[in-house]
Amino acid sequence: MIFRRRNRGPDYSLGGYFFLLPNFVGFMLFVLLPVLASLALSFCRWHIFNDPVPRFVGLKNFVTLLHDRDFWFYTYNTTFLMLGIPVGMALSLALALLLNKGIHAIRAFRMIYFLPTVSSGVALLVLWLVIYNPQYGLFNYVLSKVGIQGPSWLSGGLELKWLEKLGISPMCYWSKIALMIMGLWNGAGGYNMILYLAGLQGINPELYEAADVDGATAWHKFHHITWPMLSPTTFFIFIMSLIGGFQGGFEAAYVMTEGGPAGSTTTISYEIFNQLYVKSQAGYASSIAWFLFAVVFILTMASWRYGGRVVHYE
Amino acid sequence: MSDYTLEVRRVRRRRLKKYLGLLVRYIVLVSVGFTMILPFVWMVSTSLKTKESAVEIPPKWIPRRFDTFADIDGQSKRVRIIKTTSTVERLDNGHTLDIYTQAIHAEKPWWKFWGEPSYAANIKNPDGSIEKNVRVKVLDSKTMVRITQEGPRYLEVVTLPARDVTVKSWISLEWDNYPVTWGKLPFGRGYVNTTIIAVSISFGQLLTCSLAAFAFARLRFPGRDQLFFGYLATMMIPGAVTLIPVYILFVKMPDLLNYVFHTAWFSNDLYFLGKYYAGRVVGGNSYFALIAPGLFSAYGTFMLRQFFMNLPRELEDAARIDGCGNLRVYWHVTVPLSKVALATLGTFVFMGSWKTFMWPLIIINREELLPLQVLLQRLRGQYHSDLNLLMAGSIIVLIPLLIVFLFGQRYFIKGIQLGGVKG
Repeated sequence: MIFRRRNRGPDYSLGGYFFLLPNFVGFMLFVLLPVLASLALSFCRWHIFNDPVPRFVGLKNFVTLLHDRDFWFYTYNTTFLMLGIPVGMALSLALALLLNKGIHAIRAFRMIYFLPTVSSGVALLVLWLVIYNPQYGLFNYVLSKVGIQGPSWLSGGLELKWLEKLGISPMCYWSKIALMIMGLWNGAGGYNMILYLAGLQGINPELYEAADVDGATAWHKFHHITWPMLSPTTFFIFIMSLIGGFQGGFEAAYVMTEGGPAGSTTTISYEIFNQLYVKSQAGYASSIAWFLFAVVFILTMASWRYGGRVVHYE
Repeated sequence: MSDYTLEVRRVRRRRLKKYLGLLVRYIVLVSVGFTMILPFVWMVSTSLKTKESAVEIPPKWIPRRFDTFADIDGQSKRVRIIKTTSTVERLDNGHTLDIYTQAIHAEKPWWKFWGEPSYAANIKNPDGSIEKNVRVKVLDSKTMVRITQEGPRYLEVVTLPARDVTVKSWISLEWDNYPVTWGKLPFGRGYVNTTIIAVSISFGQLLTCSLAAFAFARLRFPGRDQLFFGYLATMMIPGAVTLIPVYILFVKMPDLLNYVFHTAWFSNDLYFLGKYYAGRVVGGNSYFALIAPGLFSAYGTFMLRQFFMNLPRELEDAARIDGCGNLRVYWHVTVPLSKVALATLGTFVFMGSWKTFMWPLIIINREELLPLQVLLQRLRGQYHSDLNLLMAGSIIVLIPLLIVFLFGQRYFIKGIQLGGVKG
């Protein structure tokens, strides 16, 4: 027979496509085609409701983007907010180290630390909105207990009287710091701590025993065993947080500050929302989104390329 | 000193150091735990305060309310002031202004969860007789309804010199805040919507992802690995990139479909049981828009594939020898074997879709279709000065999540360690 099937084993068939079909339809409709469409849109000008069809404008959106001072300010905001990432990771690692050995009720601790992560969402943002209230909020109340008079976190600026006397009003608001503190509380005991715990439990105890025989101090053991052995986890968490950080900040900005004061909490994702939903400028929004994509892409590629050099694998 | 004593000392010192270290660790851990819990305690406490006590300076941890109290029949009782009158009395030594307050006294024990506080009053019956301390409900300043008996009665108020009426604070939990918040916006409908969304997305995603994962892990077909790599690659596409065209797609969808099929059916409004607005068929303002984009995920496929790869092949082979096709192997062998992984993914997806905010925010504008998160945001917009209601609303939204976490905790922790990917 001419069309005799080659014998490739019982599981070789085109049936696989059938299994893939439901997921693939969604994948096409909501990922693949939209990605192409948004790439196309980023070269167009289109007010969704006023213009009948998108109008091709070439690279104009990207040129506008590059000259848009506001946009670079928002990019700066996004980057500034990501300064909380290393601090949060250090906190997560510290908590994981403390929890790692000989602690009773580890599950109870883990659960309590995880509560903020579980309950994140609008509810927690509303909670923090109340907590940050300058007069009757919890945060300034706690600060006042230790003798600090807290500022109005979400709307106030740094009071630099001597600069104002010189006629310079500095654009330094507390809002970013406030969002970072909230993020630390939210994330310190969350996913990252659990990843670190898993990493710590994977380290061979014989290494520590050998170090003990050599008379190593706790710091030596951390520096020469724990930290290198955890480097894949650290690397993974760092890259994921970086990628997440670039895309984040929408919900906090929308619910708590509306991007203010003076745009100081507007992140890239909030700007995309504004361009798309408030101004209906689908083309410009797409070009910002693609800028974001480019950043994330470069980060991911760089981490694949150079990750191996800083990470110690067993 | 002998070597023996030295050794004993060294051991003791080391042991002391160890226990001290442990103590310090516990102290740090407990105080961090305290920091994590504190805002939640604050939330519960504020949600049980009155509007006035929620904005007290400095804040109080224990909810209390301020009420007027007066001495009536020799007892200090909580009263409700109806009218304040001033009378001028001529006294020997000149004029004196005295203010009188007319009040009824109220009783609401702290354990009474909600409902209007019931007031006790002296009531004048039509025949002129007076009953004292009858539990009544206040309709307006003149009319009260006796709770035990039908029909309005006129009320006899207590008239007191205003200086005898004092405002006192007392511990009281305002459970009323919860039903009040519930009534401000359609939270009941929000619960239904969010549940519909979260449950359908969870089950839908489990089905589509496990099918695809099975194909990637167990079946061989042309282009399999390239396709899988494509799936992996899409995981790094920011949500914002796809959001824009998908938003436009849904906004334009009804008109588009109407045009293609020469009908007007796609822009119809649907009503459940002819009564409850159920959105449009497709497009913006529809359940379809809320659910459909969530039914597929590359991450779920990836995670389940990793799990399926590690399952033993022997059972599958046995099933194949018994004549099972791929579908039956999938349904009768792979799925039952990976209950834990499916539960893990399910918990993740459920909690994730419970918290979705941006998508419903932009695609829905009819209040009947809004999920809880967006309703809470609207509550925050409309009642931003009623902190007690905001906190009650937050708790209303959070409780199901906490319950799911309590039961699914095991899966959750395992899922993070398995997939090593953020939710």
